[in-house]
Amino acid sequence: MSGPRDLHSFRLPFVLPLLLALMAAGAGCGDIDAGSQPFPGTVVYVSPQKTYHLRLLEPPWLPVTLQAETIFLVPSSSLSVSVTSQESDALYSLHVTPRPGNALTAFQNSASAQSPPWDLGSKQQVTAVGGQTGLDISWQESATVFHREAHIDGDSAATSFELRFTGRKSLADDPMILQMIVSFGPGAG
Amino acid sequence: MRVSPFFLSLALSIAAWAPVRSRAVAAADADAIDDPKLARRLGSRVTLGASTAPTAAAVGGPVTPAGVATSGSAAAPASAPGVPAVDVVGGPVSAQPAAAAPSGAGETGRTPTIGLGYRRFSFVQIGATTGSGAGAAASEPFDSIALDFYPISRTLRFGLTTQYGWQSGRFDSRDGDYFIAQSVSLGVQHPGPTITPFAEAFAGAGYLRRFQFDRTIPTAYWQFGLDAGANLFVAEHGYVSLALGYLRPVNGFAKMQSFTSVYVDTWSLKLGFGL
Repeated sequence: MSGPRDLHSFRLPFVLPLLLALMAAGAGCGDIDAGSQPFPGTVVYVSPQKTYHLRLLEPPWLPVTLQAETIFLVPSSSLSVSVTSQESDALYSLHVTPRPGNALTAFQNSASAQSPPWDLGSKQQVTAVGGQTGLDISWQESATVFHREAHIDGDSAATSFELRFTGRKSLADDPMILQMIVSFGPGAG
Repeated sequence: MRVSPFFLSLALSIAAWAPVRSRAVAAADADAIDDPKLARRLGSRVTLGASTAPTAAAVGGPVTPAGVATSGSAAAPASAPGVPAVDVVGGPVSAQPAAAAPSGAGETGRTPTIGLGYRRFSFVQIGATTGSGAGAAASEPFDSIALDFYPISRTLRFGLTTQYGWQSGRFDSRDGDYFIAQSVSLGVQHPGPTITPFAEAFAGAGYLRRFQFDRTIPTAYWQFGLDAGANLFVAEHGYVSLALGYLRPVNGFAKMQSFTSVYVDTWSLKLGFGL
């Protein structure tokens, strides 16, 4: 009979890790179901004046509040974030700026001010999770400076927001940048 | 085809004797007599192992001396001249040795001991999305290889698995995610001569490296799941295996000043080979 012999062979050193693993599994089945929850694992940032909100990973993103605005940075590993930190030392940065007019108008105004001009063929439509629409474009400024700019409608037709990302490598088609854009919305959320 | 009882008895005896013979040969040196004269007079000593044919005394029955006919015995030897035949009352003494008794199914079947497996499953890329609108997390398929060791592998099987997984398509990339995990498994299997179907549950934990915005983010990883499949033995000791299963990978990490975890319920496919 193999059954009883199997049970005799089933010694404590093997039972113990199994029980520990099962206990750990039972205690930690997970908090957020990524199959049903939007933006799992991110935190909601609400601006001090509650004019906008967005979701981001924190860490590595850190909001740095200055007098005029809040800048979002991904510090390099050697950078200690403080008021005196140079934005240029960051791996990524994000500026959020309110703009007059809707997203399309603000996008066109920004495009006309660029030198050299944008390749508008690379622009793409975006729709935020809150229903706001906008436009998104990426370009390269220099060998190690890349940008991505999105314009999202505000809570009225007269306002919109500009989200300008800067990084050291191409930001086009980056799904993490896209997550921050589509989670953006006016108000406190 | 009808098999003669004699040949059947002979075959069983040979089968039983075979392992004993190897032990007897091995013990021959130990049983050798140093004195040549004594050796010629006594001959070689025969040591009977425990698995040789049991005598009647050994099974509690009456003793049957050599040359004594046993009633009920199909192959009773002829009585020597001048020696009266003695009828021994009792049940027939089985000529079948204990070692030739058919063994249990768990001993005749084949089970895995150690193997190398490949598993593929889909997790999510934390903080990423693939499209506008819904905000669903971007899928992140993982490939993984695992070393499986089964210290107990009979009808019950208990396994230890060391696993290394990487973000699919980024095995040799420095900017991909990867994990290392140690798991234990417990299951049942039906050992067969060629195919051994099995079902097992497993749980484990380890380290998951997330690469987010060019920063390495150390996180925790744990998982549990169920596998059902089969081992197909294709060589004397080798097997290939296929299993489908349910898997819940969980990623735990720091979110601001707190700890949170994200999971998915997914299917996984595992292929393997081993001994």
